[in-house]
Amino acid sequence: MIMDDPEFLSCGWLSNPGPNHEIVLSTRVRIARNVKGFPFSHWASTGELARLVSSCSAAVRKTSLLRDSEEIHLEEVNDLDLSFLRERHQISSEMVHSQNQRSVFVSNDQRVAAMVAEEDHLRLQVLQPGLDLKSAWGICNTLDDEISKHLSFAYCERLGYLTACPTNVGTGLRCSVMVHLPALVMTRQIQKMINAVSQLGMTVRGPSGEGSEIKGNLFQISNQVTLGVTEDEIIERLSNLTEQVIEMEAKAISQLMDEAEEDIEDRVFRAYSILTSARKLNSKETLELLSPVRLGIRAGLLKEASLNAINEVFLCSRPAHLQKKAGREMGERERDIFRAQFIRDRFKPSAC
Amino acid sequence: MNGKKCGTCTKPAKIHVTQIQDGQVMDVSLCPECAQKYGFMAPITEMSVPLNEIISGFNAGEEAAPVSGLPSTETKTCPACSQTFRGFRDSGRLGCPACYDAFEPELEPLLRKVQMGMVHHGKTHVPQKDETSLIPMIQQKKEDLRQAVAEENFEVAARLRDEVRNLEKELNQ
Repeated sequence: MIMDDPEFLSCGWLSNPGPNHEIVLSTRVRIARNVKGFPFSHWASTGELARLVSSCSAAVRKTSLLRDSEEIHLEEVNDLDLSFLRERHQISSEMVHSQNQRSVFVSNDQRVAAMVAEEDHLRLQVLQPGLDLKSAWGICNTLDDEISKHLSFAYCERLGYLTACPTNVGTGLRCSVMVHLPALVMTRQIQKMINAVSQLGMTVRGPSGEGSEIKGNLFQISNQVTLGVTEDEIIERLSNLTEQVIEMEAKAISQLMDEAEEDIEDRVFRAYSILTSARKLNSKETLELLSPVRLGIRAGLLKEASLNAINEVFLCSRPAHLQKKAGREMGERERDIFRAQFIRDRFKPSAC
Repeated sequence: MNGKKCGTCTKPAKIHVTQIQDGQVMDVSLCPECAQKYGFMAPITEMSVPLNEIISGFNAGEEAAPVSGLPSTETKTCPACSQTFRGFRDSGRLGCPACYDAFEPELEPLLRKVQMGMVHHGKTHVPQKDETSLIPMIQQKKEDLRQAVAEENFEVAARLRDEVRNLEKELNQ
């Protein structure tokens, strides 16, 4: 099965540097589509859902991007694999709780995914490292065009693509960028940034999406508005906004370095020492330590580690990823020991 | 708002941003127009409330007095899928694409609040007429038709029969 393939388990796509990768870890673009003539997934009967899944899957299999990908049937995978896919944003939390007849196609390079019988019948998603909304949307749009050759979608001229929740209607497009903003947090400007962003039809959330706790100074900025704007406008506005946030964060770093270099240096090296010598590390502590280390690399203080290694550790030190790497289910204590070992190995001078 | 005026004109400021200029932390307050002019984008909508709260709080307690013969907002039902407006408000999800027409007046204030316009400006979908797209839909309608007949729900059955005929005509064109 694809999820046991070491290539699939690695986070190669994320460790390649993308544009503005110093501050933006990744870009995600997804569109919601529903097949004409069927109720939305949660309202469909078992028979309707079965027919929907089979016609959506057949259409996905005809696309050049997902032709060779494996269809993962969620009812056939165990809880660990479900959590693993969730940690990668390749399924939603809704799919974790309701796997019946739901499936997901993931491309071999893991950047492209099609989720079938989600809140909407089809959700097409593209991930890219760094800030790269245009290319992610280009790939997603091509996939949509290819699928549209084989499926008629619920669409009307007035409201565009019709979705289960009216907050997605119109373009059905949701774009988000994962940003690391420790300097804005330290200079206490983050709340103001969040307030300003939320007044611009955009929203700021924790790293795991809606309702998630903000950890490791990671934030997700995404568009809220889907109707009354074109896809290109959404992409351009979020790109411009993210560039402004990047500029604010970069200025905040210079300010910190001018005013409190020794304090920052102290924080960075303390965190790096713990991270590279601890024998037990829990998930939350890891994110809290990775954040100053990442800041140290960006500020040129820490030459021993690379941003690529940090980005990989951000994702691969999460509970399900570690257990997949170990090849077995582990309790919390065992996981914390394994996580510390994994991080020590990853930050060995030869590995960075 | 705290009554602050825009830093570049005299209108009331809606956006407050802290910027660092020449090492100085500066609070900048702008009105929506100037914010757009200086790259902070617009049009501006008030978006500080999470969407699920907007949906669940939306129309709550606003039980319209039933006009004779007309269903109240709460019990209004989509003729195609039987989802009620109350069901939508509780779950945040509509039952089928036809719900957008069935609940059009009720959805309008919500869309005005969370969206930037009321009309789609994005990509256009050209419906395909190949077998993979129409056949499952026809099969589904036929199944629904059989069930409606078995339940003696002749009004729905008549509608479904017409829909099947139209789809078959479309397929054979």
